[in-house]
Amino acid sequence: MLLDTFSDKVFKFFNYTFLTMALVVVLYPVIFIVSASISSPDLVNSGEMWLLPKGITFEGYKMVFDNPQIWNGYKNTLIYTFLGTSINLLVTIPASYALSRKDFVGRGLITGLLLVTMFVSGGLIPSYLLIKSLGLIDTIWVMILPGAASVYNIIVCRTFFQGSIPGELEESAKIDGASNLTLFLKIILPLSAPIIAVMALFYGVGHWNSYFNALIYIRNQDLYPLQLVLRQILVLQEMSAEMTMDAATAEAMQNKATIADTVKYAVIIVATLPLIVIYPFMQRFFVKGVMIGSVKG
Amino acid sequence: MKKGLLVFMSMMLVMGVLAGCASSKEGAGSNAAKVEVNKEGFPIVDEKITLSLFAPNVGIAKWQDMKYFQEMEKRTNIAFNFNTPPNESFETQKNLLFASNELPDVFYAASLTNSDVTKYSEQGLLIPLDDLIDEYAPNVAAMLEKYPDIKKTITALDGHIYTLPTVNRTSPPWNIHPMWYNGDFLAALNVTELPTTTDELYDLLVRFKTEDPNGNGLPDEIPLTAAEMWDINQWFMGFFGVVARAVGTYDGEVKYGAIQPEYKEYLEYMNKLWKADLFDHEAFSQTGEQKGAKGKKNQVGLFANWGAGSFMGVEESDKHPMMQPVTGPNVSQPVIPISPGQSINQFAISNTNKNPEATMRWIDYSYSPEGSAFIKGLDEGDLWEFTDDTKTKRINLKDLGDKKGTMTPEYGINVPLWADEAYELSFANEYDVFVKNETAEKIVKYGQVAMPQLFLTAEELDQIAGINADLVAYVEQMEAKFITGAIPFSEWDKYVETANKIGVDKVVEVYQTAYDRYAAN
Repeated sequence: MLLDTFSDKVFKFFNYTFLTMALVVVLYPVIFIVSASISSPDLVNSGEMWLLPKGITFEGYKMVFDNPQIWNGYKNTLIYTFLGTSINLLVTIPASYALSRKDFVGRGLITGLLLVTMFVSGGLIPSYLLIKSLGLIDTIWVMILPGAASVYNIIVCRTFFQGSIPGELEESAKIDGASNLTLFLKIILPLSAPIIAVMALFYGVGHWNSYFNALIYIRNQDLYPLQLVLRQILVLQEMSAEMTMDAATAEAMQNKATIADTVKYAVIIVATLPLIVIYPFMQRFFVKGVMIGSVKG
Repeated sequence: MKKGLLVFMSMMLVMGVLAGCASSKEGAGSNAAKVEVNKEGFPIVDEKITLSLFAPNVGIAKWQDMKYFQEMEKRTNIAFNFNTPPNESFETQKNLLFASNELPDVFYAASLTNSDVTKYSEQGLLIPLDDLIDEYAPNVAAMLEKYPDIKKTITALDGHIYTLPTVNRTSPPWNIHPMWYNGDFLAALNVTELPTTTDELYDLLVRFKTEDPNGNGLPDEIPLTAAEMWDINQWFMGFFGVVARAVGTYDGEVKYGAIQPEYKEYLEYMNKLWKADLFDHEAFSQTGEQKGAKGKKNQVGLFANWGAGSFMGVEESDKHPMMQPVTGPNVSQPVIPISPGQSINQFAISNTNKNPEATMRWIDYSYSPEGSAFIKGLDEGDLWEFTDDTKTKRINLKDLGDKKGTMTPEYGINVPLWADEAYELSFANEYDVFVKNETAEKIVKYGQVAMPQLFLTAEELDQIAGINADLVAYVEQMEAKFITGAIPFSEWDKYVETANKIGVDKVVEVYQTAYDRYAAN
């Protein structure tokens, strides 16, 4: 075994120093939030709690678990995420495979048209009018259909198909008598597990975190996704000097501030935990998938 | 190839059907035909009608589940389809409704701006209410008669009334939360006379800092704190005679506060407190919660909050006096901005409403004594009870929490009503009386409405559009820089010059014209 040279040692020293710093920077907020979620809000606000929990209380979690709106939001988000991701995959994978085939007439034009939508969008009000005319307002489909195909993801997928599936494979399958559909279902899909997993993760996280569509298009509170419920709890109406109000309003706002204070961190944990749990399982696909798509493409 | 196409087509078909199902649900809005209206008593209409109502939701309950609306439906025969987006995104939703011409029959607690009212009444989207008020709303008419200033304020430039305000002339007319002294600190230092001049105030703050009034042996006292300047600046500017940082009226003349020499005195004073470390150095960075944490640790001597007790985490009591406004060296008396006593543009009827007469009678109930009491407190046992059999004094039930928000919309937002004095006073406890007296003594005595709520013409709005936002941002930024000493006062002239360049003159001119128009009516 060779001993490290001086320069190796210097390199390693800096390497470990930087990595440790990066780790601290990333890990600290996570630990802080976990600790804050079980600490007394007063100690958190006064800055006395800065790493480990102080004045331990589970009041925040209790309030979160007692809140029916949060559970209903959870249920909705699960539905939107599973249904939405399924439809995303159903649209994205076939579309990008078709676009990857060199014998697909007009694929340049179609790709171009798709690309245009990445740079030009309708804007809020025209989009609203469109969604309204489609009759999607206040239905669960508004959470699922408008973003069913992401052009960015289609391009990533197409690159994957172009780069990692050899044309010879398709040819030989055709010689053996496979139709396009057989080819897609029996040959291409089984070879695409990594990209499918990556796409599922991309789309899934997007659905999990999305609130803007709900904010604009959903009125029925029973359909609110988790993130919108959280937003309602956490975002305090901005008070300003110009605002006039009576004592009852002030009291309501102070009540809300107190509640938000207590549940803030617990809510963050409850809302992100599922993603944190799923991520390690998806990660191996994630790394492999993106590498294959980009390096060999 | 054929099979692939088939699969694709069937997929599209499925999606089409899904979308179709959804769209059949649309149009659930109100479209009741016009019906006869009873001019007196309940029900308002014999045949049930359903209107659509647009209002902000504070996120506690669905409006259709509220006892208030269920009871009102039983009494009046008027039901609603509710569109209640979250309060935080209400502005966006409101603009979308106007942009997509998807108007609700009723705007409720909608806080329209005066420019909304001007614009949408010109387009005919909001209907004038004057005749309806005369004919169908005796309580609103009585209110307008009693308070001519309200009528003046809500009358649009074309002479019509398009919206109704929330009126409360009984609660303390605070423009913003008042300032309080920590009573424990005062007692520890044997202070019996509150400071009346800015110099005396300075001395007291020094004593807060140096004489350990919280008695813990640590120099941890913060004489004066705030979470951003708007928290306290209305008071401190007032000590030097500035009624508002932006436009305000001074004997009928409109001036822009932030470029007056008096405003410079205010900045210098705050800078002096800052340099002596009497004014919390976290004032520009901390949140309201962080400020509150300091109060609960009994560190703060002078602060702004709705109540002193809730800031310090103790029962509200008369132990903590409201701040006595102090007088600057160059004014005879301080001036404290007060609330005009109404929140305008909280109710409007759109041109899609087929039953404006019935709607008017419905809302008029909230302007009657029993109607406003009902929307505020519902029936006995819901939120309050009588203290004895004489049924004159009411007391709130214990541990209500957010319960009020599940029963009535009058929680956290300004709903259109005229608060009834007798009802409000029936709740008054010792502490309320204390606050009322303190308010009369320390706010109302020096109080002035900085600027009435004025209607601007579309042209005037155009002229100052953009300027105002830039100006406010610049002034706010410079306020912090002067106070913290990041910019020396030798730069004051340059600051005034820049503010003038942004367009102070234009803003003052526009508001002067609008104010004169208001005053002439």
